[in-house]
Amino acid sequence: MNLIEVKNLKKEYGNHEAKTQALRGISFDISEGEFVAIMGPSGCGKSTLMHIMGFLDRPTSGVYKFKGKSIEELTDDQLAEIRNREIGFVFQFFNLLPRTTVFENIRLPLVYSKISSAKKQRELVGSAAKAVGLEHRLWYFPNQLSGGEQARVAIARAIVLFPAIIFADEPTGNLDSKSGQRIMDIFQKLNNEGHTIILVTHETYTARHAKRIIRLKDGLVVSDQKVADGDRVWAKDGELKK
Amino acid sequence: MKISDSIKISFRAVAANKLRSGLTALGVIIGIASVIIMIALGEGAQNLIIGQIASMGSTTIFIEPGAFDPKKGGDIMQSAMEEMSLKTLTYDDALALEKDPLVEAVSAIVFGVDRIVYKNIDKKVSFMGGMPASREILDIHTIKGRDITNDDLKSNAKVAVLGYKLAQDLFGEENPIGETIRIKKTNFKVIGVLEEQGTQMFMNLDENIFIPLTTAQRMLLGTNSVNWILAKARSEEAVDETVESIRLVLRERHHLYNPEGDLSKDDFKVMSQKETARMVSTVTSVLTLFLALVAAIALLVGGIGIMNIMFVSVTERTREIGLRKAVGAKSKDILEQFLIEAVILTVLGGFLGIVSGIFLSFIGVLALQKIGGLEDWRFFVPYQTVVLAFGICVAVGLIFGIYPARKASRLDPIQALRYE
Repeated sequence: MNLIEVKNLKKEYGNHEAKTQALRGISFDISEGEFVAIMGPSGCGKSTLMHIMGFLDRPTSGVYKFKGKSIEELTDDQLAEIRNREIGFVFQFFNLLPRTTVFENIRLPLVYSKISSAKKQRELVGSAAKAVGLEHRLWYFPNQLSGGEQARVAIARAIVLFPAIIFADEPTGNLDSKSGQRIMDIFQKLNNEGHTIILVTHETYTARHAKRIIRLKDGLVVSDQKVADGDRVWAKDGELKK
Repeated sequence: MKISDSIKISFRAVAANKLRSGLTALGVIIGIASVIIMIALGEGAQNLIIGQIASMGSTTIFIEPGAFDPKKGGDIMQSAMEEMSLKTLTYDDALALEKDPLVEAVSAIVFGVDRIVYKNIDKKVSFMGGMPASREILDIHTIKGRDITNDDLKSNAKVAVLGYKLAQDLFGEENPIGETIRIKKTNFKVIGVLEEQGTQMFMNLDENIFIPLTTAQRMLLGTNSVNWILAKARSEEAVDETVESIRLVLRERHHLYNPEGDLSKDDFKVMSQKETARMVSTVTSVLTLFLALVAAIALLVGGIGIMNIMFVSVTERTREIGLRKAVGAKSKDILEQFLIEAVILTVLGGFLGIVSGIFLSFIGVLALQKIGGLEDWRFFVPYQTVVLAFGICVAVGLIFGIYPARKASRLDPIQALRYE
């Protein structure tokens, strides 16, 4: 079943005099369990596309269906609920709350969820932290962590509620290659466990972890390719190959 | 979202900027402290005054010269000064009232201040000229010697009864009875000493000297009028009826045609203790209201400070707001968080304000008692005031927090996440 259906999606910014078209009619489907990389030069519309697919923004026209449901039918509060339950974001700068422990950072989505039992929340935060190998850092503050560890906190926060999709926006953009590789391994592992992952990047080597690459240019899809397993970098002993 | 989470988040935000939060709350602290101090002192003053009036006994009726002026209304302090110079009431008025069957006791009273001399002691003392019935009305009795009698009054006897403390000051351990003191070059024989009394009607009776009314009028004041007439009704229930009866007697004696009973046409005022207390309450309530207004302005300024800092806080934490929205916070969650933060600031300020307000009014009352000599002034903060102050704090937080909180809740998540 298609998790995401995008049909002729358009997004315009600005008023009538100065209109910019960020997306000019995009169509594709994404199924459950896929690992998709959306690539393209900056300004190609990939961030806009991620925001719409992540329910942070609405399209100007076209169809965006998530689990068969069109975004048009949803109120802002319902969008917030979907973001909470179905979507996990890993932002480029991780956006961790300063002066707030790793535990509290990972717990953040739970604050806005229906899971109110403190015990249950601790369990969920614990298992998310374990999945990214941070169970020993729960009571640290973000400024006491390395960049790679901060990225892992952001991933743990994204997966704490077992979302249907994880969106990652240039997650390795600010990391050295060794930490970046570790992060990509984690995404790989999460995908193997069944998480659907959509990665927005302009780095070819990170995109190579994906099973499918959608390339955008000037608000249009220019290519949409499946990547053969043999070409995927992770298979080659985890060594990054540029 | 659980309210406990909102509170925890907001507390963390307030605690993250301790100095800033403290300075912001200072406005509210000062505002609330002034509310508490104003009310505590206002209530204290009112209790003191009402206590003094109540000390006269509930059946006591005052008759003062001068008409009731509705324009001046409750301004009894000022009118009391003016009345001292009015001459519409006389000893004969008091004698006429004695015949009224509703009146149990009557005493005309004059006041004055003059030098008294005993041996080498020479001091300025208040004297009160009265009739024997004034003892009954004021409920004071002699502990030594005898009291002034009607015969003293008829014969303009030069006799004096001393207040408890005055007797001690002049005679110490000696027996004052039979001694002679000089008031304004006239010799008076001391015939009695009164029991210790304290202040009544704002006069320290213990330092007073009491002489027959007629003697005071002729020898010391040179006047036929009196300052007050005190009367006593037969019972508390009969007070209103007695007041009315006294008015009729006095109108007839003063040849006033006033069938409508318009009090402003009289040349005297008749007030029961109950009415006097009510008038005083009106004065002090107006005063309290005025002071509360001043405090309200202080709170308004404090509230604006809160609003200002909340705007700063919202701007500073734009990315945090964006992130919270991205992970599922609804607009109302953000609104709630910032509102609670504003309320925490004001309630925290309010708590400190209440504590410092109570502390400062306690110090103030101590100063009034020890330095101002108002020993009867009691420290009193009504618990309703504390509840009210707390309510005001929550209200100020909500009123001045709602606008910044709305601004926060309406931020577009994408814009907010990109905010540098």
